[in-house]
Amino acid sequence: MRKNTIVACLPFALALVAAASQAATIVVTSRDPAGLGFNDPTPVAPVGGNPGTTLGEQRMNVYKYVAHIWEQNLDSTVTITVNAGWEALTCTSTTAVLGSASPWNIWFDVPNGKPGTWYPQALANKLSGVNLAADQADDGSGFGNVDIKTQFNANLGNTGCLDGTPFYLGLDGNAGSKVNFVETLLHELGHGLGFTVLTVDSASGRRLSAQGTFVTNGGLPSIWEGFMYDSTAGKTWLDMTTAERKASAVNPLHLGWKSAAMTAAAAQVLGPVPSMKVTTPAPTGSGFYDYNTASFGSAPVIGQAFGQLATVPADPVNGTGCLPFDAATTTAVRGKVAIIDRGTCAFALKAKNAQNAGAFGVIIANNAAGAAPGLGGSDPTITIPTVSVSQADGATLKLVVADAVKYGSRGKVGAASDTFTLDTSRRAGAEGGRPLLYTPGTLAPGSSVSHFDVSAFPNLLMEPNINSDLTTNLVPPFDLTKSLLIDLGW
Amino acid sequence: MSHFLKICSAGVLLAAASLAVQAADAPAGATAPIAGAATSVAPDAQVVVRDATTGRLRAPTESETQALHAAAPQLRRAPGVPMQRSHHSGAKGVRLTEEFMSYSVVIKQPDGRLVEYCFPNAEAAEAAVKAPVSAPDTLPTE
Repeated sequence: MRKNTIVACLPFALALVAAASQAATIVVTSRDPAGLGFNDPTPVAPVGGNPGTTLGEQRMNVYKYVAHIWEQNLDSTVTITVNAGWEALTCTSTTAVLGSASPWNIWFDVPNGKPGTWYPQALANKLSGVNLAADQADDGSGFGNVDIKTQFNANLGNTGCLDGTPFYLGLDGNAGSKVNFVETLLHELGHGLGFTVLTVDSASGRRLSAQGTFVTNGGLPSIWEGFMYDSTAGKTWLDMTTAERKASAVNPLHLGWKSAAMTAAAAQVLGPVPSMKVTTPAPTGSGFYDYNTASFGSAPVIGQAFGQLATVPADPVNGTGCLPFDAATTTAVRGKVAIIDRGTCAFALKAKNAQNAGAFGVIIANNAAGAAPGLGGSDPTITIPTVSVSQADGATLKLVVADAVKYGSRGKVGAASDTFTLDTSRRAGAEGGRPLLYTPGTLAPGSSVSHFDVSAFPNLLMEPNINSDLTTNLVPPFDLTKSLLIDLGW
Repeated sequence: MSHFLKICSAGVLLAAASLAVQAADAPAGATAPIAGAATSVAPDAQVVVRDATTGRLRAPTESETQALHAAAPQLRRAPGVPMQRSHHSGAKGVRLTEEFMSYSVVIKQPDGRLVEYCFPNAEAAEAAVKAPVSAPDTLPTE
């Protein structure tokens, strides 16, 4: 039911928004009843450039501010419509659903679009030059024809709902210990505008039929799919079977966005990959090795030597590195970087044992397939750096250590060593120049191919983790979001 | 039964089953959801509850129905059915349902740090809220 509607036509000339030519118009429509949500009369002090004096005004000001950011980045002659409400969403004292958003209407066989391909309505309208929903019957809600539907948590910060931590409604990014509503909304509206594969169920690979139901066979492709290139399969989702799409959605670090424009943009935005550069006198083994970091000990410093490598012998009974090192192992690792297999005991215990033996650092070799894991745990007495490598790289490094011995000179035993550096031949968050989409190895909660991968550096707006260091600039050299949307047809 | 109705019913069943847990776990002094916010069960939902005594599924009692309406805001996301569109240009479309929403969730870590995630569906978001220890960025320790 549509109640007490507030319609806010833009542009919205907030002082903090730089003047720019406006290429799109976004209309935000409230569905909140009197006294609630956007109409909440609770007096508040202006904050962070938001001049509102009631909670409801400040909420709407953030919507307008974020809408204006998107207006500056989009080009359409058709007004973009967003329906918004504040509701009592699920929460506890320490967790909360902040809100949700989605394209609310989608179209295929769009004039000037790819035939038989799903588009979100805002983009479909832009391509066709008309509002496709203009003559459509409403569904009885009063907002059934809008481009984007959103809702956010009206109770955030109240007792029982992320206690004492409300949305920060300032526009200056200084959210402090509060939840930055600008970035949250900017991200979610990004999905609403088309940053989502949407019509493919990534858990099953099924596509949406013309009737709007997921089907195992057939269905129509999303405009995303022609860009989603799986380097393992050697093809895009557009050319995959349902089963192949399902597999691709859990193929870590191998599903990228394939377009010349995005590769060029990624080269501007994404930084080189932090890496360990191993040097050995042996003919093979020198090169870059990916690593991950630990939550304990000192952090690796780019440009700093890590040290000479040594291997801690496997201990299938007690777990490698889980007991205080014996004399031989202590001699082997003293003043060096100890390579220790993962398993049986805590990472921190292995690191502490190595430190006690005089090691300068630790490399944990993973014991399962996949990327190098982040290392959790805590021990404030550990001061040496600890990193992890993949199982495959760990096996290689142990061979490198053993092989290097044979390549000494002038009576000196050969040794391999490594340095923390940047691999300038690769970009963090890209494969072969293609920006990576988020495809963790298991389809865990939060998995979604409709985000950039978390390996991107610097952080991007459309990663699944909404990071605190984001800006509101959506174009290179700051972000890849607009570049992807342009590929779609924006 | 359509795909969407199946999901809708499953969501209602899940919510009904969790009601007792929610009531038992509710912190003392917890603020009730805002008055006036919609909390209705979708009219096309088929509501069943699992009887605590017999373990069998049955229709809800009036009081259980009222409890569902009052205490489970996630029920508003129970998807309806997609609505088909047609435009004289030849374009065809669909009005989607809540099933297609992306969800932002925030989890306060033990050290007080806020970590914010975007989930692709309501089920994943609900799971993260109810079991934050399994937050995606929780690192293994061994």
